[in-house]
Amino acid sequence: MTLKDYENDMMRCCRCSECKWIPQAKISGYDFAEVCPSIGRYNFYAYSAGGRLAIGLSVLQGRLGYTDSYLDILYRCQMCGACDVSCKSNKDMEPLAIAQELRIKAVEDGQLHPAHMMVIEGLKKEDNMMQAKKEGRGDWAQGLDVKNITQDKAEVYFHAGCRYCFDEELWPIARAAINLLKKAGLDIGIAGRDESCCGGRAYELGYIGEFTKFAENNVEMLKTAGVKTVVTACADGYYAFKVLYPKMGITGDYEVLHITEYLDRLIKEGKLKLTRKIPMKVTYHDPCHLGRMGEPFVPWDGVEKIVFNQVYIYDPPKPWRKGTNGVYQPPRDVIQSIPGLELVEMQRIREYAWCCGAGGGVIDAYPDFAQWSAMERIEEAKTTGAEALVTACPWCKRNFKDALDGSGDSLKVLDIIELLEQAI
Amino acid sequence: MSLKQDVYRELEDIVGTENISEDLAVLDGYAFQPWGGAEKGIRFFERPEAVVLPGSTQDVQAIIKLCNRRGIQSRALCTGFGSHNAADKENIIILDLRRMNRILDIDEKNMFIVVEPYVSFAQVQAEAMKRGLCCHVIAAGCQTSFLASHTSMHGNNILAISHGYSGRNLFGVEWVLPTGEILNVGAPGSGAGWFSGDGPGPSLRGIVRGALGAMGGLGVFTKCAGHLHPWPGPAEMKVTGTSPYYETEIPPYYEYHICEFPTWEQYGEAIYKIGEAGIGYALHKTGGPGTHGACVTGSNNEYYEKRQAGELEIPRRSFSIIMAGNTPDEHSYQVKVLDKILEETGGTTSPIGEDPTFKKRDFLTMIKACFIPRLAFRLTGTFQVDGMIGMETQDAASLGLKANEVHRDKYARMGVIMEDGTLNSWGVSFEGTHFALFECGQQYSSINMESIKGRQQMEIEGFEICYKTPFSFSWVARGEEFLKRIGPTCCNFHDWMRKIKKTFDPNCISDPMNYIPAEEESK
Repeated sequence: MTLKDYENDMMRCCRCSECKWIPQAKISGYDFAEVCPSIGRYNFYAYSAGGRLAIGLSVLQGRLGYTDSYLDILYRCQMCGACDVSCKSNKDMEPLAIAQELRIKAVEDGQLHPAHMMVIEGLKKEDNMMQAKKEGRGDWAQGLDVKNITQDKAEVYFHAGCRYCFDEELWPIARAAINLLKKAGLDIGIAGRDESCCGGRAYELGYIGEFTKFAENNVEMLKTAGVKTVVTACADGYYAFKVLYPKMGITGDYEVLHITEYLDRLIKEGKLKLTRKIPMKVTYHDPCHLGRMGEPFVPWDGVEKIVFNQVYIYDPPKPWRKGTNGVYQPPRDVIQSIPGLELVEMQRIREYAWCCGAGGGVIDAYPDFAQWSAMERIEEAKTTGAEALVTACPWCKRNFKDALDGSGDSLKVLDIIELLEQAI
Repeated sequence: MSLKQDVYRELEDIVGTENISEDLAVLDGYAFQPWGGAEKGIRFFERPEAVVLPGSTQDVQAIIKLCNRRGIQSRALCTGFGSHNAADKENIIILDLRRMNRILDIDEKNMFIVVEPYVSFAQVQAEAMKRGLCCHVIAAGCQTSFLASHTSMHGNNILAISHGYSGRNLFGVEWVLPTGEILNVGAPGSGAGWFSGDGPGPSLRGIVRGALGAMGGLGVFTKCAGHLHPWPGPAEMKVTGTSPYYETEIPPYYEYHICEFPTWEQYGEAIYKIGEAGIGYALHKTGGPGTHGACVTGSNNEYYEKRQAGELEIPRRSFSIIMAGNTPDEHSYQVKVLDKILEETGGTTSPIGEDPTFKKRDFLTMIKACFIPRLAFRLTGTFQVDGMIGMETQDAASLGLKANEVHRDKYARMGVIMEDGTLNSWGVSFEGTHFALFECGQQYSSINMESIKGRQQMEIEGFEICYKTPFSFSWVARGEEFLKRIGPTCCNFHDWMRKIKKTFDPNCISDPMNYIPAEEESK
């Protein structure tokens, strides 16, 4: 698809502003009614999904070239998909796909964001998004008794992802994930030093070529290893394997699971027994790439058709990604299976959850905006009375932790894996 | 043309570097006005010279004073839904009031709320419900600005039968006049609080907004108080389901029905009787604004499939009604009265309104107006009034809807507007049905030029029908030519508007595009 393919969508935007808010039917008070960090922080209409549609159309009509603010408007956005959910609640349109195409076009046109150029250079050279030396990629797993799928056969492959591999403070979580899966008796393997980036972030930055390269390499590795299940504890990684690879036609014969799905399954099958009480009130943050962005990709190849004189439909019917089929219940079920733990919900949850702020390259290019977005979520979490904000993605955890650092706030930020490790 | 650098710097000094832009990509977000643009076959209007984001009344005042000093026109907006928010010529700056977004007070006892511009109807209503109160939500949807409608637009709505329209619900106002002075209208003008728009203090509601509002042509409104009404329902409407299939249970002592009639006369008579009996909480002609079948489905394909299967048939001469009782006895009384009215007027309850899913979804949108883009825009991309619109008695509204059936069918047969078998003309009755609105919106393609041109022709013909009948009152009366024609049919109201414009805006600082220019006076 190209930007031009979405011209009708841009022409059909009515500029209603629903993309700025959670679905209107779900608004239950003054607070926490907005859903888009971008317009929330930068205020000019261009920073909303509707604004980006306007820019896309203006570019297509030849009205607009690259301006001083153009890349800021494009990249001060986490690509979290919240606007997409709210818009699609009422319209048959693809606002997130248009934002993606604008990024791809900018890269194709050589309009590169300096911060992202550095990240992509690092990816090209070191196979990771963290600008770290690739030699250290497997260090997180040192001392773990776990297979390496590049040398041994294993049924289940655990993809750690760039953040877990290079963020030393988070290593214990990745290690705990392995221990939990082993405890359940799984035949688990990792790729250690030979693991490489999933490519998902490169895709969101608009670097399709880089994404494709990494996706193909990863799938080739999985095929060679004969892996039956891919597990990731990173929401970004899950989105890449589960959604982006099939979307780009890069597929293999394996099941993709987020670790919360797998742990939920193992608990329900009685393979993991939770015996220790954790007397704590927690609230759960839905990572965007696990929730609304994580719903399975369904291929569609069809055309627009006009009926009833002027009504447009799709032939065959288009499987709209409305964000409702993402992974929402398994992490909640895991939390609620832990003795003593009380789950309280925030106002913005599931398909209309507020983003942690890290995604879409924002953490690299606009760290202040990433922190601002995280603080908005932390404030929301605090209104629930929870002692801990629990998530299921290392990018969310890192961003929340950084936002809280030095704030004097007592709210804990935990991954579900950490809770489960304590409960066993 | 762009702003002189020293003017830009002065504006920057007022709002801060981060809150002003003249970048073309930013400006295109404001030039983009697809609703209103589509009817002309365009999407972009003139780019403003700059956009500023004031954070306070003082910021707004300083900007307007600067505009007076430097001869720049301005236009203020909130969400910016509709082409009346666009700059239509050079030398206009836009004040986007998004940063002014606080609820300042909710006076539960005296039933009003005080807000800044960028508080939405959805936010106000949700807070009101927590306190056993409710506000009307305009037909443009609950995502729009409460203040913008109350101060500057007509503000018709589904709850109008019990809540009135925006003009009726406006209490105190803080108004930055086009000269840059600040005027508190109504009770706040005498420091007596916000509880009244008419005093103690200057009573200028007729000038501030009249029936239709000045649509940004008369200064900037920075705070307003709005009337809240009793809500006998739950403190929070429990919304179940996932997007797009949100729905809610009908609360205890509430009723929702679609009532259909053999003739428009019987339809109108029933509405009169409902008004006299005082049993209506929400009421509107079923079908609008937009298509109710679209409201209860999740995509165009789903709607099409259901219509093809013979489902979602909305009776043409029908209204949807919600009744809200405070007690079981009141509820029982309301049900009996409605039954009696239907018996007397030949009406019946339509089966489609009794379908549990339809009921749960349509009830939700009648109270919250939370599905408006899906009702009015999803099926074809856009909709617009077909020239036939008016506000007078219920008889006039019923007659208007009757006349529109013929008008609509003609253009549906020509293929230029959507033909799904429904009559989507809309109507609401205000304040006990003492007067009523009919508004005939049609869904047409925002892309197909034949459809666009056909609807333009339809609008011209619709206007002519209105000129020749008693339906001439119209808020689409914008522009010199239109006002000169319609003004004489309505007590020359445009002459008065012009006088107001001249008096309150001597330097013509507020963009008059959607109000009236001061220069020319017709006789």
